[in-house]
Amino acid sequence: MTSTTSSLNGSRQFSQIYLWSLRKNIGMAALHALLLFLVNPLILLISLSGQKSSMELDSHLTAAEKAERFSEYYSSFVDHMAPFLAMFVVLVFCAVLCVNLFSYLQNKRSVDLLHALPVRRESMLLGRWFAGITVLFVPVLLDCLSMWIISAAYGIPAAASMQTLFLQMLWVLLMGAAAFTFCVFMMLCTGTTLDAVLSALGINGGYPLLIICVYTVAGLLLPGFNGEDVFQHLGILTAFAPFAAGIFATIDGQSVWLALWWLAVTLLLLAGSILLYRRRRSETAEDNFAIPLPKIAVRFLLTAAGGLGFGLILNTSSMSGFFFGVLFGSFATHVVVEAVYSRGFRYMKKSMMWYGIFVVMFIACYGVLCTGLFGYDTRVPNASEVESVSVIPYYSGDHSTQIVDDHWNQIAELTPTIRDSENIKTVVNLQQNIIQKYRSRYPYRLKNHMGGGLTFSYKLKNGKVMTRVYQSYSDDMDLNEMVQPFYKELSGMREYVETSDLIFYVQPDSMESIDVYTAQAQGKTHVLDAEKAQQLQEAVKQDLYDKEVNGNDLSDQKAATDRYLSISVDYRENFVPEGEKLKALLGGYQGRINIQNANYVWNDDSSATWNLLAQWGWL
Amino acid sequence: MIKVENLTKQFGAKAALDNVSFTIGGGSVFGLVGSNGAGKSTFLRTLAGIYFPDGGKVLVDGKAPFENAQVKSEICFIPDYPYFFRQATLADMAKFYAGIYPKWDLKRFEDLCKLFPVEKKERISRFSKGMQRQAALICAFSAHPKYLLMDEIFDGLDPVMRQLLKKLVSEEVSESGMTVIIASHNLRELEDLCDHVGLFHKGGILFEKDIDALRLGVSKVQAAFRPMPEKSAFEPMEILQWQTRGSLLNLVVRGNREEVMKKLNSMNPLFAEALPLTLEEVFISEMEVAGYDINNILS
Repeated sequence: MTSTTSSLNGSRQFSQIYLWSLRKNIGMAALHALLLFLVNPLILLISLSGQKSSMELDSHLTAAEKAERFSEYYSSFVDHMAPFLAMFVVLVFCAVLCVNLFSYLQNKRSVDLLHALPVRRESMLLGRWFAGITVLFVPVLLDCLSMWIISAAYGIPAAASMQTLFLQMLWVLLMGAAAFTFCVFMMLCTGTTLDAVLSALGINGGYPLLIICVYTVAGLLLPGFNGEDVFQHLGILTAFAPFAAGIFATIDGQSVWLALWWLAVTLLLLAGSILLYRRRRSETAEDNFAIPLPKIAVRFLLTAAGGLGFGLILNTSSMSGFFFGVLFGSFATHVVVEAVYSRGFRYMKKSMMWYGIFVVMFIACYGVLCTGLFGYDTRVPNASEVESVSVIPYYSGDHSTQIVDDHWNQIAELTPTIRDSENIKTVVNLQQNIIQKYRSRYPYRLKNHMGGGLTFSYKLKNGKVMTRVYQSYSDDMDLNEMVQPFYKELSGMREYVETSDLIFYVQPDSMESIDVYTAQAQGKTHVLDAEKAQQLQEAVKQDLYDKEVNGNDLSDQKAATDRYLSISVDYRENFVPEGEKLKALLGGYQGRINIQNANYVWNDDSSATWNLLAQWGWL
Repeated sequence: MIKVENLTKQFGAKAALDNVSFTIGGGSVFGLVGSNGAGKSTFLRTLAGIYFPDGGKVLVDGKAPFENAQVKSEICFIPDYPYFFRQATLADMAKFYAGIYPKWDLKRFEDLCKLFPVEKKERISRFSKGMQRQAALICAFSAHPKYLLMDEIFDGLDPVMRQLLKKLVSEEVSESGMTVIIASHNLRELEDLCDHVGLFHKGGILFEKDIDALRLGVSKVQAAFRPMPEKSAFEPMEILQWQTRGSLLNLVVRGNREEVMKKLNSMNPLFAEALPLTLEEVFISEMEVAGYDINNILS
């Protein structure tokens, strides 16, 4: 039974390795499928069964309402909980499978066996990679299928539920592939499994931490830069950390660009792994690293994050505290990381060169930020280039600005927007005045925020968006004082007022009731009929136009006085949006909507609302 | 045929193989000997395509083995510590090898499993060191390689298994023209099996010779003189080793036995006789001439 074939071709080599690796990991695939079944279909089944029992007790519900509730519950589960739980399990298995399939690279004896085989390294790597991907993907697809079967069994309409389920599971698969390939790359770079695990953890933890620290320092140092919206940029925050990105992707921030980014990263990592494996020296098994790239990256990321993080903690006490914190924190982190990687202090002296690089980079970056980031601090667009500008005050009062759907997911938010060219010029001047105030402390020093901020968001005629956020600082920069005179100008602009509150967008019949508070009486509720609703809406609009009485936008300081009127407008639940203005704001959304309660405060009894309520005898 | 040209392999700053050149003919049994760290295992791994040379080249039938599946399909390498997949039995390993080695012979595998006292359904991790080597040998012989590379293969094998191995190697060499390369410190075993030997030391090869020519070219004699002549009196004999104890003289001399005895007898010794020479003694003598510290080298 001797074969006469001279050697296996590439595809036979691949298929032999793939099938062998798959066979050896069948147990892992079964375990993976079992865990996914426990966290997803089983929980769904139990929950839906519970829902069904509770609905059967509720005799008021019609069959259609029951079906809708089932559908809602199912959608909510597959949109949030199911992908999160599946992603968690998949990420754990990414790491386990990677160790299972690629730890041979880190054992001299197994390298002797496998690298002496008549199999090219590409085939060896791809065969094992595809086996890993199969073990990751097939249970997820089964998971998806079983949830679809459950939905069908409960009579949930397939079209909508399947689309959400399919999209969410596609994310799980994409991020699973990215995380697995990332782990494979780490295994190829390192000589021991411990170093691979440390490196993977270091990059997935160190990179987001460093980005948060950099954003925070830049926000404290550079006027106009918003360091607090780092979590709005999940793509940047997790750009090189697939495990963190995987978890975040199931919570928020999914986008086509993010999907394309991770697809590209996965393919690049796979191509990089193949190239790396071709050049990887077999003798590096059991060394620390085959290629020291992860060590350099992790040491730098953690050194920088440790330094900036400790610096920010000490910054609360003093400016010099920040520099001491950066120096001490970064040095301590560098020493710890180096000692862990090198299993001692043998190469510590040599590693100081890399610490020196961090120090130089820190000084350079700090210098650039405190001198305004190449004009970032003073950049204001020409009024003629601006199509519109949104000015969002650091305190928006209790205006109603958010619209949510019938599941309470936000679908639109109203931002005060100015389009008139003269008003735009005023806003540009306003921003320039603010810049001059901040410029008085140039070069900038690191201070502590007081919280909040005033945001200018310009939409330029060339399609670009330019945003600046100004903060109050704990020492000598009180934004509240600084902005007050400018704010008076803003609140005198009709278009600013009209885009500040949804009361200018809704039909009066969507207002259901109001709660009235005065210095003398607390919380009386009055239901509005159609006529009263219309009158009230007109009165509130009139008061908001009148900048002398609409001071509630600045703060609620006035409400603390003895003479005040406060009303809280309750909108109807799940109403159908009407009116062109509101429909335009919703941008094509067809469903029912909800609007948060709006609170208005007056301490001027000559205001239209005050007079109207007095006339109705509601005060 | 294996051709090694200026082969260099570095591990950091240290050269494990330093500009090594020699040739191993097809259908021969080549013994690699040398001190610890001489470069024997590194050479075998480079030849097996595990290591990539840092300089020079190693060619198997004219082709470099590194990343060359065709060449590697003709080579089987049994390292000093053979590796098997976790939880694998010999039957599992056979199934794996059958998919990878194109000339895998199942019948040969079954026959060898009967010949060697190992249980193919038992986990290899439970085998003793010697049994694991037997398992590796079974797999290697069943793959029908043209080149069989073995590192310290005699370690852990009992005398019966050593004889069986020698028998199998001899059969394969004579029947299928297999080329066998064995790295070992066990010169006694190599002496029986090899037709060529190469002596590695500090990353270089001191010499590579036919084992018979090596033996014929060096003679060991014992003679008694009274009085003992000066060493210069033995010229022009090329003395590799000179040892006197009273009137007794032990000599290792380059040249064939008859010529050496003729010269010795012409000096009227009380008695003179030729002694059998082991491979080990040949190496010791050669390396003493080369100025090496023997005790340190042949461990």
